[in-house]
Amino acid sequence: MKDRPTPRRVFRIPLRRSRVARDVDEELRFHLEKRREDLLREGWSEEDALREARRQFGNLDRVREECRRIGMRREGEMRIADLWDGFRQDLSFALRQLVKAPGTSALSLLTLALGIGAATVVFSVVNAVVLEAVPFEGADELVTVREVTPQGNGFSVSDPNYLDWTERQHSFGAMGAFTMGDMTLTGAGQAERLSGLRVTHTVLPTLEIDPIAGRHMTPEEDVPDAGDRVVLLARGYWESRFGADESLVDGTLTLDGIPHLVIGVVPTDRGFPGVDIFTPLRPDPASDRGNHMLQTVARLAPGTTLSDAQREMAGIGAALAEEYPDANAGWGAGVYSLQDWRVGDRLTRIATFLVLAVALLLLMACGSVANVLIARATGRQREIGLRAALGAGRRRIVAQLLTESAVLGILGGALGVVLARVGTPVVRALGPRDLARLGQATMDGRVLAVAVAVSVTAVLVSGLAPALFATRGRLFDALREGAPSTSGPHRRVRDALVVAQFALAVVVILGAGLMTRSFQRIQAVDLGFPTDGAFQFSLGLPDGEYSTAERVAFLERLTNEIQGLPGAEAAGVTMSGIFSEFQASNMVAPAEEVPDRQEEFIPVSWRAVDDGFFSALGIQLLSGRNFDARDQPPESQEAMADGFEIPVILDDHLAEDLWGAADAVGRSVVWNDPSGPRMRVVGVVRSIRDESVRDRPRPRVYLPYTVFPWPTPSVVVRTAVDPAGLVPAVRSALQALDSDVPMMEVATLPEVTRERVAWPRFTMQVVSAFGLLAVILAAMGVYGVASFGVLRRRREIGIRIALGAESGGVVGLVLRQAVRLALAGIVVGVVVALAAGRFIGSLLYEVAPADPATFTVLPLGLAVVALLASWGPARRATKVDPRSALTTE
Amino acid sequence: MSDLDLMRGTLDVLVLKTLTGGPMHGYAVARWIKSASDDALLVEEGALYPALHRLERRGWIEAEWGLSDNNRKAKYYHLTSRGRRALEAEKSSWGRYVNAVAKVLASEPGAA
Repeated sequence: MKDRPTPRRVFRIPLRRSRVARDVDEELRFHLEKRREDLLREGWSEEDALREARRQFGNLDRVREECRRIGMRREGEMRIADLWDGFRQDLSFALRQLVKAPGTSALSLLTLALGIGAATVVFSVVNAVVLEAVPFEGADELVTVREVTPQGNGFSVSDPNYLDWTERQHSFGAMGAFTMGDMTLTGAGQAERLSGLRVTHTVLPTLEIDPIAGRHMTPEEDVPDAGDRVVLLARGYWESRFGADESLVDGTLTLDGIPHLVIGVVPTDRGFPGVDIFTPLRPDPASDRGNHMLQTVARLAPGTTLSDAQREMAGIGAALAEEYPDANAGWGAGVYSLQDWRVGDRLTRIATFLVLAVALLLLMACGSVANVLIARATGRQREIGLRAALGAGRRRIVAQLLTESAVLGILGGALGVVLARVGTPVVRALGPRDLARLGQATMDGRVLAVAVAVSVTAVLVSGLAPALFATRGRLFDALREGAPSTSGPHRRVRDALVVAQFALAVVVILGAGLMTRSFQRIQAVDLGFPTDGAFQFSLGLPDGEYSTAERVAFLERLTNEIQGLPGAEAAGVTMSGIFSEFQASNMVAPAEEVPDRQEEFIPVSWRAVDDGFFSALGIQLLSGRNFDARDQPPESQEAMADGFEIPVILDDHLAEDLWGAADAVGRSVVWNDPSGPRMRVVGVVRSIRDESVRDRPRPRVYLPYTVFPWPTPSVVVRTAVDPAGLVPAVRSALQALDSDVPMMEVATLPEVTRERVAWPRFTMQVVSAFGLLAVILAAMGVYGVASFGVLRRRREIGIRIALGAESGGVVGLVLRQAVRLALAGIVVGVVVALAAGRFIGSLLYEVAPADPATFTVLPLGLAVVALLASWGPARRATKVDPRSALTTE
Repeated sequence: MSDLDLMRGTLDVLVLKTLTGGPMHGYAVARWIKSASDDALLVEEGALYPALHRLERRGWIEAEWGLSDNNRKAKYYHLTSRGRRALEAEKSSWGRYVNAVAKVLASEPGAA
């Protein structure tokens, strides 16, 4: 016999707890009642019958308890089984639905995947560049202590001041100093220039970087005149150059011509990317207190806050200024969070901007998917009504619809993660070099967590709205009315979505437009020298191997050799490369009225250059003369004290700051402080931007390289041919002079300039890509609504056509409706973008955040896109056949 | 097998067997078992109900509220097809068990 299912099973109605208990009570009461009646019939008295019935029954309470317990469990199991059954049904149904409409499914999947992928890539970038910029344990305790100039800016630290600080402070549990220490490795194959840092023995322990082989430096190793030279290798370099050879530890390497004992290997690839070696820094208490070379790191002592430390260091700085007025007058000491110092304000703002832009994009993607899902739910109202009529509850139907969007979301999310995996290396390859830090942090847990959170949010946002609207109100009506239903809420929500999409799209493309304009302005900046046809390289002529005179002679021979090469036009020497990180600073004052206090000196940047530099770079000489053979260092200290004046060349900005329109040539300035050396101006050149493309250049002093023969100079070569083609010839010229001097950091000037504006370019490219996606999504949205509108008003359109409406009128009808929505969104978006302008303003270069051209062209362009997107549906409306439109439905 | 387990297993089989006669409420089941076994197997009527509920939870029987004579609400149980199959299985294993016990009781200890 086949089971006849009971109604309760058909409709799957689990019982509540109270209902289970009541059922048990009722059942048992019925039993006792029946037994009593039978007993009465057998002749028992009224009184005894009840007692006898209970006696025969046994322990009523225990039976009741046990029955209730079993009943509860049964209902619980039923509920779980129902949920599981329902889920399985929903899942297979959802998959069937997705496959049934492959077009819209693929479109939604792609939209979500692009949104999630873009969000993940952007977050990977932000994570690596900003959030993980200080990838050390307890990063918020890490600070840098810097000197503060009389103008209130952070500055590098001098050796004696650093030593006094470490002795006097109580704020820091640990403190260390470091400075650049590139060295040349010889005696192991071809000479190799290593990127190095000189560090006090405390730097790596402060950052909690411990050796993976060997040991830390000892305190004895970083005092002046320490015995043996030692070196720590960075793990990355140790692995790539020496194949992680353990036997290297305790061996020796020849660096700058001096044997160094290898004491260990440290994992610093994230903290100090690109650094190969660490050698001891030996801060010298006897060195010039005004010579600022050191950077510091310190870890706040337990219980000390940043402001405690700032207060203490300000006091120490003031005390030192009083004790050493010659070097320290006006100077102070400041404490900065390491995070802020390393990331910088502008990068943080760029990161925030990108995250906001991608958030808007993701929002649009969700809106777009919601739109598709609502459209689909609308088409399925009859089906939903039927299910409701057959007893499916609202919760059940919502669960069904949510399962569909969850499936979309999960698939889209997975696809997005794949896109992000593919996209992150692409971005890393094309983006600014800072992104190299991304190396290890491509897809770590946090990035993945954000991707997952984003997909879940996307799913809920896209799924909930259509699910709720599909089941709102009288579900049975759907059966009675003709399909497709035209009921209000769906349409209003879809219209609102289109308005929102256009608003978001306008904001995104306006941001992209402003960034693009700003970047064009940056590209158009006159640097003051032509970059085309020039390249530069750096080389190390270490103190141990070259005396200052030998160094100058070597470079003179080298530049002469280079100038003799076919295709070379000019070659010049400078202390550091164009756009290098090494940007020297000092202060000057006019010699005729020297201020008493250093605060009133003019802060300048300076560069030591040879006589070939100006012509090699193409800097225009405005008055006076170039450096020449006359410009030699003083014979002795006595000569210096005897009124020797160092010949210098100023740029026109500084000349004007010092003496206005008067000719500067022949006048003198005082260097660094009131009692500092004097310098005679021999020439004035045009100002150039060789430190930053977008910032106004600092006033500049050029000193003769002969007087400041910096050991790691750069050479700039101007060519008549393709610069890259000349590099091999220059390299052999260098090798011929000294095969132990490597040619480093070879780059054409267009390349280094490009690198310098990498972040603005990157921001522009990313936001422009977002803008394009945003426009596509908005177009899809308005296309969907216009198509739906034509379908909805088919009968009306049919009547109009039957009554002789021109096709132009029908097109206008459809276009008007679509464009009205788009315009509403555009207006809202423009208002929002104007309000947000203050935020983006700081990222722009010579473009107003409310740039009229941008704010005219882009919104209009978007309106045209809306028009074009609804054109297809409008044309389709004119093809409506009045007969079929009026007879169906 | 403890006393209680024995009772339980026995009672389950009896309930299933009883319901082969058609839907019945608990009291009717109890009465039928009592009369069929001459009061021997169901000492306390109450013990029947946990058995009924256990069988329902296992899906061997299903319950439904209906009206008894003189229009009182009563909970009627009927066998499901799973319950019917279970009864067949239980009947044969029960038969084997009874035979085994009978055999043991009939043999002489120490003779083997």
